[in-house]
Amino acid sequence: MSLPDLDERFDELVLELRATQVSAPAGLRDRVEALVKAEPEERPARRQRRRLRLPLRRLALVAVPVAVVLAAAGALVGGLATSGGGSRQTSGSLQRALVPKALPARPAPAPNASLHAATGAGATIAPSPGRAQLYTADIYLRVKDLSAATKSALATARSLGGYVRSVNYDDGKDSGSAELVLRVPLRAVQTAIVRFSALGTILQQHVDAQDVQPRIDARFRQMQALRLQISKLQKLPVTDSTTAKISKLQRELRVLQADQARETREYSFATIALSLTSKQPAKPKPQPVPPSRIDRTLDRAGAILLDEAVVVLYVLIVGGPIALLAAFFLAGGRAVRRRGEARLLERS
Amino acid sequence: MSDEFAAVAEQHLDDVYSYLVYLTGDRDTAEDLAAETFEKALRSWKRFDPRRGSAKTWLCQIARSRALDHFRSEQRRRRREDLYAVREPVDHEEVFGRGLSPWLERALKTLSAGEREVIALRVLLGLDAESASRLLGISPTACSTRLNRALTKLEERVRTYVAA
Repeated sequence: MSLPDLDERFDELVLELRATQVSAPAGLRDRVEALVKAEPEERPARRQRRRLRLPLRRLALVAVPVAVVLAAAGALVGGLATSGGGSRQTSGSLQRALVPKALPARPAPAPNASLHAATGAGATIAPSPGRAQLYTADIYLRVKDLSAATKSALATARSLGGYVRSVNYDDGKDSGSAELVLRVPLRAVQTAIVRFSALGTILQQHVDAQDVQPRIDARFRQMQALRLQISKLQKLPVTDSTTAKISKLQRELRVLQADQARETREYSFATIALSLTSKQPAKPKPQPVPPSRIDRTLDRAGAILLDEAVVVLYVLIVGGPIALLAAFFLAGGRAVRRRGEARLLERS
Repeated sequence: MSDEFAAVAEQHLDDVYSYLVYLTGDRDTAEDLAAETFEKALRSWKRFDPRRGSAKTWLCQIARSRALDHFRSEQRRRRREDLYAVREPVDHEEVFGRGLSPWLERALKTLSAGEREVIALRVLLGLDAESASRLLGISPTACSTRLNRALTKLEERVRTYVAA
């Protein structure tokens, strides 16, 4: 009956030691029996508490997975609560972002006493017949074929009795532009604008019609007055003085007549500035598909889990050294106590 | 509860007593300490968990704690009384059981309490290396080493006494 970790040479010694069992004396046996009898019966509730006590290690074995599951569940619930509804997200800014810009922002019309219009369609302001008007139009068009559109615009102006004041044509590899300043008879300006508008897509249009008839009328009255004065002076006897006055008035009348003729010619034509471009609008970037509710929930849950992990990491970083130090002192204290006990037993 | 404890006490009374006899080398002291051990065990019985170890090991742990307290108080008392010399047991006294050869009895008395303790736990009480090492607060290997050394020393002493 030797011990497995013991040398066989001790077998005889072990047998002898075991053969002489030490029995407790009767006095001790009585004392212990008396102790047991003196102890009152434990109350059932106390007994129940004892059975319900859980060992710390087993408790930790359960508590750690439970804590992990709770953290994951909390993150999932938090993600679900903060992910929002499915349809609300697609409204508002997202829908606005999906609509391409058809027209660039229009400049604010300058304050003007005259009639003016800034439109995106081919609307025009009809000139008032029989009245002198300073009529200008700025049309900005996007065309597919810049060359053909330019030629067509020039031909249109000429066919309506107008002419070209200036042309600036620049056609590049990918896109090009042309700036035309055309003079079109006022009577045909509406036709011209409609035809120009048909060349492409109107990006911007500005029409300005300023009534200048009062100025023409005033000059005409001035001219009539001069003519009356001249006529009166011509009826007087011819002297150097009257001759000089008549000459002066006639010069003034000629100047006024020239201005009147020039302005009348000027106002009989409308000026149309036609800007053509072949540059295509940038295609709107395809918007990413809005994430589904499940994706958002998982994203939020992941973020919450990350936050929880950061907190745990922080606690570990802060509490780790303290726990390590405490464990070191505990282990050290235990070792010192064991060593003291061993010394005590060696000396006893 | 009392019935359970009474059964355990009845079953392990001799074990605890013999362990304390070997540990202290004094039957009277061992008897007092054994009584204290069972008193303490009775009070702590609700804390006993059979899954963590046998009742014998648990009782021996309490007994060891009481014995260590006893040794400490003895040490303090000796210091106070300036009696540093270890009390020599009476040669003819049969401390470790009837039937032991006088040489073995005498050799056991010369061993330290620590050496007798490991012999008591492993040889007399029959605890396995793991239970004994847990009780002693050392590794199983250290426990085996300690037992081998104690038995070697005991054997040498016995041989010396026989030869003399």
